Amino acid sequence: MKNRDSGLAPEQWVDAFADFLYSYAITRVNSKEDAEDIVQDTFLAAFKNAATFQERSSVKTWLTSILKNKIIDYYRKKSNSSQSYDAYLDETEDSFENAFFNQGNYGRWKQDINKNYLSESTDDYILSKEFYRIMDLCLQKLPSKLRPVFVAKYMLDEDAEKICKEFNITSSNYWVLLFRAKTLLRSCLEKNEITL
Amino acid sequence: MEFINNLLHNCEETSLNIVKSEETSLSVSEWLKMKFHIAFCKCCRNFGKQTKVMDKALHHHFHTDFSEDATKASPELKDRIKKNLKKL
Repeated sequence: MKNRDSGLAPEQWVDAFADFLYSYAITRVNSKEDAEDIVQDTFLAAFKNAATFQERSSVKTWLTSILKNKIIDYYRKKSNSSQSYDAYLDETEDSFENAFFNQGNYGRWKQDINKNYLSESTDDYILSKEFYRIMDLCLQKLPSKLRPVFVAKYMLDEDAEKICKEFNITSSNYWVLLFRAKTLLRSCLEKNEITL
Repeated sequence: MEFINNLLHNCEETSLNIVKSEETSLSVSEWLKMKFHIAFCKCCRNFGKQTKVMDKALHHHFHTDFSEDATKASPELKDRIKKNLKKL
């Protein structure tokens, strides 16, 4: 059985899918220029590999999966690849711990974590536009070294093993990266809710 | 005493294990330590609830189809891509 869109010639892909791919990319990267470059790279890669495209999936799904990988590459490049994750985690350990945990006291939370909208939230709220705006802001504030792993996990639904291989990190580093990213994100969400 | 204090007060280790446990299974000793700590620590209990909500929100965030109020690609971009494709 043929998919509806697989009958399109590659020349028609741009008109058919550029809008969709662009709107997907623009919500996930920081600038218009970056989104445009990523969309262009996606089409170039797709064209070069058009022969390997299998009609088992739709063209749209196939292009989207190429786009996702381009977005991960984009974050990976931005994450200051010259520094290893080991060195990064070592270097930032003190400032992270000092910000959140009381080192003189076995590592208790410095600030109490109280029940707030995040503990009690209804689905309606966390799916609202308002919440999305805040979350976007907080995601952009994450250190560039933490973001790519986070994006790979949630955007591509990759599991720990695959991400460790892709980013060449040990699993214990992966848990620390994830833990720090979540702690920072949580704290940012909390702060923004208060000032709303 | 040191051991008990560490067990009761080490929120850092516990919260790291909470994040880890969302994705993989912990060793028995890690799991026991986490459960024991959570039983006495409201902050870590709340942390656990909050990371769960964040998980759900993040997942949804990256998978929403924005087709309804999509931002259109500019005609210039489309032309540029078509031009570059011809060069291949």
